[in-house]
This record gives sequence, structure tokens and C-alpha cells, in this order.
Amino acid sequence: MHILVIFLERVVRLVGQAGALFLPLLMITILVNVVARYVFGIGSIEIEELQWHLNAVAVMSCLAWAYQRDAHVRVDALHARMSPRTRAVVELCGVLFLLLPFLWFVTGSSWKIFEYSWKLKEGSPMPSGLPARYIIKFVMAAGLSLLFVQGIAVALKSILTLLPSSARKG
Amino acid sequence: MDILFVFLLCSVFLLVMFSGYPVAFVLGGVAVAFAALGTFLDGFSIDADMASLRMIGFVANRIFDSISSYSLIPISMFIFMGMMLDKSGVAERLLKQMHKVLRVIPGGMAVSVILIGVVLAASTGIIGASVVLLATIAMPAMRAAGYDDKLGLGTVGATGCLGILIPPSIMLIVMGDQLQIPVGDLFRGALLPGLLLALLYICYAIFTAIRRPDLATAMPLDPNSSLGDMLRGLVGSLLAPLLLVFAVLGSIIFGIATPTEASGIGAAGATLLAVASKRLSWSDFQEVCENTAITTAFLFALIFGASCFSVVLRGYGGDELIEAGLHAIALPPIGTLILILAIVFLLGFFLDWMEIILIVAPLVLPVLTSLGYEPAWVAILLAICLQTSFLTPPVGMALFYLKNTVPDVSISQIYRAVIPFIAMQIGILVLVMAFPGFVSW
Amino acid sequence: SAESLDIQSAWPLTMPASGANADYLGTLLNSASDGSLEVKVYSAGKLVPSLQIFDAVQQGTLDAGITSPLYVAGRFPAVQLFGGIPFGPDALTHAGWIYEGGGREIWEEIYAKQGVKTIPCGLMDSEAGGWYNFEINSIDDFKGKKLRFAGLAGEAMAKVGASIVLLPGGEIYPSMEKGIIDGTELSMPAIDITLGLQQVGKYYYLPGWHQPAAMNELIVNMDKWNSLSESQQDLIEASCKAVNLKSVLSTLTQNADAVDTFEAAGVEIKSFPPEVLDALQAAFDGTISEQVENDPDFKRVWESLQAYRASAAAWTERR
Ligand code: NA
Ligand code: NA
Repeated sequence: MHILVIFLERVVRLVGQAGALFLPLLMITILVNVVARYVFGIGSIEIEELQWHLNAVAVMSCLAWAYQRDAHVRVDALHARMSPRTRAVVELCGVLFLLLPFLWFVTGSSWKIFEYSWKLKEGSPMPSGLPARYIIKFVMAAGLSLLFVQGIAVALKSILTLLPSSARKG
Repeated sequence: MDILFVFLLCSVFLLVMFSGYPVAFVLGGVAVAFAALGTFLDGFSIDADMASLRMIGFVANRIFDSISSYSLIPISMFIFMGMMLDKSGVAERLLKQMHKVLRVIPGGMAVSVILIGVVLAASTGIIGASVVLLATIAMPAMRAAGYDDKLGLGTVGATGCLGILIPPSIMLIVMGDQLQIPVGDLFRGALLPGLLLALLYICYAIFTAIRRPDLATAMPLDPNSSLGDMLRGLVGSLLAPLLLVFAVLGSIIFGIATPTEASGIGAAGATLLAVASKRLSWSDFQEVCENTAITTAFLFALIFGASCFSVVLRGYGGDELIEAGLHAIALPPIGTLILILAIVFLLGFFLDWMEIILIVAPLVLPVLTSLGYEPAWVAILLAICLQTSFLTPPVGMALFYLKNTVPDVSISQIYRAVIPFIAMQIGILVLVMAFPGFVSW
Repeated sequence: SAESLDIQSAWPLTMPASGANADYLGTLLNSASDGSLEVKVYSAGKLVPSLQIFDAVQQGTLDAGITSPLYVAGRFPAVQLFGGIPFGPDALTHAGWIYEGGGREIWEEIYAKQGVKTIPCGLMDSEAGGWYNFEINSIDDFKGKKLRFAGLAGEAMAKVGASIVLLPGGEIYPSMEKGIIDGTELSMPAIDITLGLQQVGKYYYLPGWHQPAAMNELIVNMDKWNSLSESQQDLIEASCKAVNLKSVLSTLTQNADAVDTFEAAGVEIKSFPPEVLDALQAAFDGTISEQVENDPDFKRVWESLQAYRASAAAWTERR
């Protein structure tokens, strides 16, 4: 169980680290767009669309990693005073009764949306826009699925905390 | 019947939120549970309006709409800009220089904290980093100078929150996106109220120091360095970041570039500053990227969760209920406005600005504009009001950051310390209500 | 018991014509069905974002939507022609093609494969040519100008050297005010006036070559549609025809009033010189031939339109 948690979390982290590097790409894309427009008077629909594509990739690939790093906002008032065991119970219940049900439905429909977009080979409504909009729909579904995976990892970690220490080894 | 379910939905959310589980997931999870309840009730032919699990199918569509939105792109770039400036060490150097110069005037160290807070506020749109930074650097210095903890904590906490009002502000970007108000107008509108608030803090610090010199001791200049040297050092460390801030904010407020363009340029400019200060290694750069991505991701997670919650709230007829309720009370327009601001202020005790803007603001703004109020002005009033939510217990993010950074004070000490500052925020709110000219100039 | 039908509008219900149509359809169906239909119309974005209405209806999470076929141009490039054609026919001929000229059959066929029923619902009169901060005397005047322009017309504009900007709706006014963009295409005067561009735009060009007519649509999930009785289906069909008439008639005086308001505010009303239109038409023809080549459905719709226009030309061109 312990090894499984480590493996899942490593996958989540690697995806997040890769996704974060899309932000400097976004910065450069904006700069290119600005220079092309204000200096050379050229506007490109592809470059405009690329901006939100890059932003979307960064956001969706770090959603799960943010949970791993405990960056999602919590109301600390009571949480800060809880014992590690109580916190583990809260986390386990949260994953099982809040996060996973929420993601179960939302991720399910995201994959449906991606599948449909893929089937249609959906592109931008602008003929010279970026062609493959299904890529972003894939990124959305994959990012939510990754959060689901991270949720499972957190649940397993909480169970490990709650088990008597002798049982944790196995 | 509906009113019961709307009440239940909101109270269950508040209760579960206090478990400390991430708010974004509580919003989504509670909403899904109530959608399931709607489907269940439907099986017994109990009318739950449109609420049902089928509605959760809309959430992915709404998430896609958020991640494909042009108006939300500046969020990540402004966070990047702030984190990069933080890394460049500009603020630390500035604070040290300013402390040296301003220590001679009563309350001078508090004044320098507020001034640095304004610079930080104008360079980023998030507040977590500025509260932590100010508390880390300024609290020890003020304690060493014999400042009272109450004044120090209040100043640091309130000043760290200025960033949410003084543009660029993530809160105003999200507000503009939600309420379809141009971000440039909101930035422009928030500028004067934000600066006035800072000015009021400064006056308060000086006044306190004059009235009770024992709380905020003035100190002689350091004999080892001349005033001229210190001023030169101050100007030197101030020039580059101020130029960057003016370029970015100016180009948005005076409409030379779109907010997205300006935010990208700001991020790049801050990177250049950090490179120029020779403090940026590759691993620092990676760290800035990662922290920015994670902060952006948790903000978007809140957008997703709140979007799910709103759609279920709507399924139970919640928005019609609130609109009908506000119209039914039959107050004069100004009464409705004050009532809504009071509700937002009270909600701010328990909720973060994000939940309030995403769930509550879209419900109340149409009511207010139907009364003839200017949307941008109302939005700024809401923004000033929401500033208090960071400082009001039990749920105030600035309070938590402060407690974590200065562990040897009690949370109740912090509560007491911020009360005068909350009062000043309300004062500015009243001022802007009385003189809309502060917003539309 | 009553059959419920939840309809999401792509536009705020307060918007003239397109948005008001959704409201009118809901009222009409509720009263004319004598309680057999229970219709609820949701304003833009209340449930699903406007651009995602088709997906939600296709998946059955939403019963129905009032939207424009232009919004699914990325999925089915062919159907955008029903939603408005640069250098296309006027509203009467556009509707004639859809109802009597075989247009509708192709449209329905394309959507039926997706499990979606479509009904023409919301005939729109000509759009305006847009707001500009510069005078257009020759086609070169567009070179390097930053314009907000969508769809096939945007492609044609890019071909003649304009720099096309994509902006969120809320940013149009300030961008125009501050000169971030030099011009924008919007909608018809009655709708343009709600954005207040007369305060920031110098020139208003009429008429709009990019969309002389448009047809919006009511899309219904096919399973939902099949679950309705024949009389309910007929009622919806007839109501949409009533919507078309009300829609196209409602804006004549509204548009006129708006144009008067613009003029009073100091806006100069102009029209595109013929040689500019010729050059734009040439650019547009280039865009169309690319589309016709890339997509067999597009070719079918385009040829159907051309055939109808030719068959009616002996009359419509001489009216
Ligand atoms: Na700020
Ligand atoms: Na609070």
C-alpha cells in the first residue's frame, strides 16, 4: 500500500512539474503576440488561442499536485487544533464522501465531452484558429482524473496513519 | 419547500467547511450530495424544482468554459509577476532601506511597512505572500524597536491585504469575468479607494505613535550612515520595481494594452528584474513557475467547486428566491444596497472572497443594477467590503497566515489587533458610497 | 401529466430579438399547449455556458437550447451558413432557402446524426457593418488595423490585411474606447446600442456585408423530442414560425431608433464603398472555396444555397 501511494504521488508530481513549465511558455506567447501586433501590425488568431490553451494545460495539470502539496484553501479554525489521527479521519471522510463523488460525476462527463469532441475532430470556430480543440478537452478530463487518483492516494495515506503502527509495514 | 432545501444546502456547506477539508472540494461534494437528494426526492414525486444528478452534467461544460476563458488568463501571469518580484528580493531591500530613513518619525517603522505593502500590492494580485513576507521581515524589526505587538500585527495583517484592492487584483479579475464588467474599469475604480485606505492606515500609525509614544517609539538616525546615502539607496532600490508597476498598471488603466497583454509583460519584466539582481538560479525559476501554477490551480479549483455549487443552488430555485426576497423587502434603493453590503460583510466572517464573488455576487448585482446603480461602482463597493473578510474571524485568511508566521502570539491577540483596521475599511466603504467620484474618474 | 421542457438561451432574455425570442417561445408554448407542456426558459449562462449548449443538449443533460448554428462552427463547419452568410441573401430569401429551398433538410440531417433535433427559430434582419475609428475608403485602409471580427467574415478580413483580435464581450467597449482595437463587428443596431459604443466609436457602417440575414435555432435532444406527442411537436414547430415573424419584425423600428440615437451622439453613419465590398467579396470567395474543398457537408450546403439563389434570382434580383 505504501509503495502504491509513493508511485501515484510521483506520477501526480511529475505531471504537475511539467505543467508548471507551460506558464513561462504562456508568458513568451503573450510577448510574441504583443510584439507582432504593436511593432509589426500582425495579428494571429492561432497565437491568441494558444494563450488560453497554455493556461488551461498549466491549471489542469497542477490541480492534483496542489492537493498533494496541501495548497487547496482550508478553513483552519478547528483543523489546526486537531490531532494527526483526527485530521486523518477528516481527510479520509472528505475524500470518500466529498471529493470522489464530486469527481466521479464531473470526470465522467468530461471524458464524454472529450470523446465526442474527438469523434467530431472538433477545431476552433475560426477556420484559421487552432485545429485540435479536443486536446484541451482531453487535458480537462485527464486533469480531473489525476485529481481523482491523488484523492485515492490521500485516502490510502490516511488509512496508513489510522492503522496501528505494526500493521503499516504490510 | 424550495426555501427549506436552499437553507439546508447553504448550512450543510458551512458546517462541513469547518471540518477543515479543502473548501473547493466541500463545495463540489456537498452540491453533488444535494443533487442526489433532488433525484431521490423526485422518485417520491416531491418537487425539487430542477435539482437532480443530471444537473451535475453541466459542471464539466462550465469547467471547460472557465479554462477556455480569455479574461482569466491574467490571473496566472499576475501571480507569476508577484512571485518573481518576491524572489528578486526587491521588497526586502526596500523595507530595510525605508526602515532606516523613516525610523525618526513617530510610528515610522509602521509607516514604512504600509508603504512597502502598497508597492507589493501594486505588483501582485494575491495576498498570502505579502502577509507572510511583511510578517517575516517587519515583525522582528518592529519588536526590536519596541513597537507594541498590537500595532505591529494589525499593520502587517491589514497592509498585506491591500493587494486584493489595489490593482492588479485577482479578485477584480474574477469579478470582471463573472459580472461582465471590463477589468480596466475595475482596476481604475479600485485604485483611489485602495490608496486612500493605505493613507488612512499611515495616519492611524502616526496618530497612535503621537498619542502613545510608548507603543511606537521614534528612533534617532543611524550615526554611521548619512541621510543622503540612505535616500540614494532607497531611490535605487525603489526605481526599477516602481517603473515596472507603473508600466503594467498604467497600460491597463489608460488602455494601452489589454489586461492579458499587460500581465504577460509584467511577468516578463519581473523575471528580468530578478535576473538583473543576480538572484535567480534555474531552480529559483522553476520554483516560481511551480508555486504560481499551484496557486493558480487552487484558485481555479475554487471556481470549479463554486460553479458546481451555484448550479445546484439554481436547481433548487435559490437565485429566484434571493431575487424575490430582495424585491419583497421593499426598501428604498440605498437601503437595498446597504442591506446587501451588510450581508456580504457578515458572510465574510465565514466565507472567502472567492465563494462570495462566485456564488453571491452574480445573484445580487442584477438586483442592484436594476435599481439604477453603476455596475463598476457596486463592484468596487463589494470589493472594499470583501477586504474585511480576510481579517474577520473565524475564517480570515490573513489571520491564519499571520498566526503561522508569528507563532508566539495568540489568535485572539491578532483578532483584537485588526479591529481598528476593519473599522478604517468600513470608513472607506462609506466614503466611496458617499462620493462615487472616487471610482469613476 | 405535463411534459417538462427546460430550455437554455444563448443570450440574456432581455436582449432584443435573439434573447427576447427565447422568452417569447417559452410564454407561447406554456399558454398554447394548455398545460400539456411545462416550459422553463433559462437566461444565458444560468445552467450551461452559451458555447456549450449544443454539447449539453446532445448528451441529454439539457432538454433544449435556443442558440445560433454559428456557435458550433468548430464542430460542424457546414451549419454556420444557416446562421448567417457573408454576402448572403436578405432575410426573406434566407428564410425561403431554409424553409422552401431544401436548406432545412440538410441542416436537420447533419444534426440528426448527432441525436439532435433542430428547428429554425429566430429569423434575424441584417446586421450592421460595425464600429470603426477610421474611415474606410479603400481596401488598404484595413491593413494592420486591429479589428474584432468573428467567423468566416473574420477570415476574409484577415485576408485583406487586418489583424484580428479575439476579445471577451466585456472588453469590447474599453478596448474600443482606448484604441486597443480600431474597430469591431457586433450585431444589429438595436443590440449594439445596449453596449453603448456610440460613446466611443466614430464611424458606424451600414449595412453589414458580413451578415445580411441570420437564422437562430431551437435544438432539442432527439430522445426528448421523440418522447413528445405529435401535437406537442407540431405546436413547437408552429411556435418557432411565430417566433421568426416576431423576431424579424420587432427590430425594424428598434434598429431605426438606435441609428437615430447614434447619429445624435455624433457618430457618423457611413456605407462601405463598392470597391471595398468587391475586394472583401473576392477575399471571402477565397475563404469559401477552401471550406468547400475541405468539407463535403459544407460543399453540400453551399451548393444548395447557390442553387436556390439562382432559381429565385429572376425575381429576387429585380424586386
Ligand atoms: Na494588487
Ligand atoms: Na472572515
